[in-house]
Amino acid sequence: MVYLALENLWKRFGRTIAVAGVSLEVERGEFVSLLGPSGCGKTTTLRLVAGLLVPDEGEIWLEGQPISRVPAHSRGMGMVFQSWALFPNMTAAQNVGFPLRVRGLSPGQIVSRVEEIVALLGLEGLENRYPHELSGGQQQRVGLGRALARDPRVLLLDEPMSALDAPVRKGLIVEIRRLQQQLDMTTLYVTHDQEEALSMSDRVALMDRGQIVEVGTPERLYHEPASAFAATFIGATNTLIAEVVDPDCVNLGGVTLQVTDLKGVGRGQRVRVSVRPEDIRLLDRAPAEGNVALRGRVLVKTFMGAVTRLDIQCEDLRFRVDAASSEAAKVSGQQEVWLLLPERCRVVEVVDRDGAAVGR
Amino acid sequence: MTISRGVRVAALILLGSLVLYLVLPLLATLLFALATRWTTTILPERLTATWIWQTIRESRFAETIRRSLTLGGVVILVDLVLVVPALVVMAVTRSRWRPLLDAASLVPYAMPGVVLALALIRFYGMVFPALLNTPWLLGAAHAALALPIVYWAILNNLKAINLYDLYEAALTCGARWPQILRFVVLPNIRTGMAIAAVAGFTASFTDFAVANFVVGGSWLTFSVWQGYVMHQNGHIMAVTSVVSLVVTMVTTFLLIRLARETGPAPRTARGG
Repeated sequence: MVYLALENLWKRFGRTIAVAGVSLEVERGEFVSLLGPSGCGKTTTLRLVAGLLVPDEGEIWLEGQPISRVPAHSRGMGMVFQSWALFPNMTAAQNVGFPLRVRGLSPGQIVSRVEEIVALLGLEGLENRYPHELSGGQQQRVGLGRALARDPRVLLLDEPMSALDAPVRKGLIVEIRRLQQQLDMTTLYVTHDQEEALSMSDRVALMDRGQIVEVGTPERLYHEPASAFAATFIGATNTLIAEVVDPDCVNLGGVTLQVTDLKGVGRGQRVRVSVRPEDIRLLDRAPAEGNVALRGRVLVKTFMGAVTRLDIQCEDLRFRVDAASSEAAKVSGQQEVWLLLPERCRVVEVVDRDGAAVGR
Repeated sequence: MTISRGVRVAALILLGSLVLYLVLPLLATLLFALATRWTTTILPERLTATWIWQTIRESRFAETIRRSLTLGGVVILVDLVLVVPALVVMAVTRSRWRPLLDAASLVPYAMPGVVLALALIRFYGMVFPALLNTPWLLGAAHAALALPIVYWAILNNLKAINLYDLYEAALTCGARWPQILRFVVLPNIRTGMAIAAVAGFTASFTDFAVANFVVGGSWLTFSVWQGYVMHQNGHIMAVTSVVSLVVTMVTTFLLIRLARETGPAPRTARGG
């Protein structure tokens, strides 16, 4: 039996459709991220699961029971908010213990559980501080502790790290994942940050305009995006127009690349393919015979630490290439270079003569 | 950034002037309450406690003080009971009607007290004449008078704590409405409630215009009695003014202390 199931959920606010037929199944102990741009309906979906909103249509099933009409306070969910929403009148320990206090647990039980959570989250020494006396990262840990205090049936996190700076965020990404695995906690995580989603999740549900457009493991979504939206939203990519030359080959700027997903697309049809910047090899001289490469010129070179990003014009095709900085150091701006494309690439949509999508 | 000596001196002069402007009238009133005679000299000729004793011995002093204290207490209770639930419900439901309530709450402010009193007398004279000249009608009038003060004090407090997020967080923690009110809402708006109570109480305690029109001599309040005394003896009037100030200060002190004793003042959390 599926642990948590969202079944054809719809939610409208006036004339705006926020969630349009969302269905998703989550297994017990699984970490699933709802990833998408602002306004795609991911937070609304999470709030439907939390019980803070009631769906107009559809049902939410938890351990086989319908819960869409169960009030939020009775659902047994734990939620971490984007704004943290710590109670300013309570200390860190009181915030963590609040769910237990409202459940009527004895002071002894509350203290014992709070101590457990404080140790789990490394909050020792901060128990008696008020939220305004804590840093952003510490506040977010307290928020997480409060959500975990009563062993929630599902842990819901609504962009919990969007207000944190990068080093704190990176630390918390690792910590949340560690905790989730340690506690075997079924988790639904909302984010617009693909790096967060890819690094933490067992599966990612990609959302756009109120719908889940693709669900899969981070690796699958990254390497085998099924749509141009998925390819461009998850990681950087080059989406270029190629022409089908064989049932399993396309021609891109004179180079033949293998593809595996051309069912029903005829020879001569134009398609949009996705080539990841890190899959392209950069050469500072013409390759040895046998290797077919595209000749181009470096337009922009951006040093990004371990990787250097180069924008390269190859006749009418423009490529973005992520090369190891040690390799990229050999080339300079406006220099002539050669690009070795990967043997395989991914077709993300079929296009017409003008480049407009006609199907997939 | 360093502040030049000239700017500091100017700031001190400005601050000093402000303090003098505020304190001098109070000092002068206190001195007049203690003066035997103060007409042709810069300072009082001699000091005496006669006016204070005379005021305290006056039978209407204790009675009107008691009435005005009770009235002020009732007014802040009524206003808090009316305003707090309405604003809390509006905050957690993100009601679109709040701007309307904001505007309506300003009506008693925009209307002169005399007009408000006359309107009340005309209206209740037609629909419920038994209320005329009773403390009930005065209580209702003062509640309306203090409503904007109470409303805006609570509203600003609610905005500062972002109640909607706290309400949702409490719900997902498993709290029900009574628990949310007790553990989250009330502790976080107690500063606003204390400020509202002080301001509302003061508005009621010091009101002369509305009380004089609505009940006048039939249910004498401290302020109305003060008005009568003014025409009889200026020194006793000065004593009553000092008493009025002391009552307001003591009430303020007590309410703020009460707010502090129920927990630390909530502050907005910082990020980073």
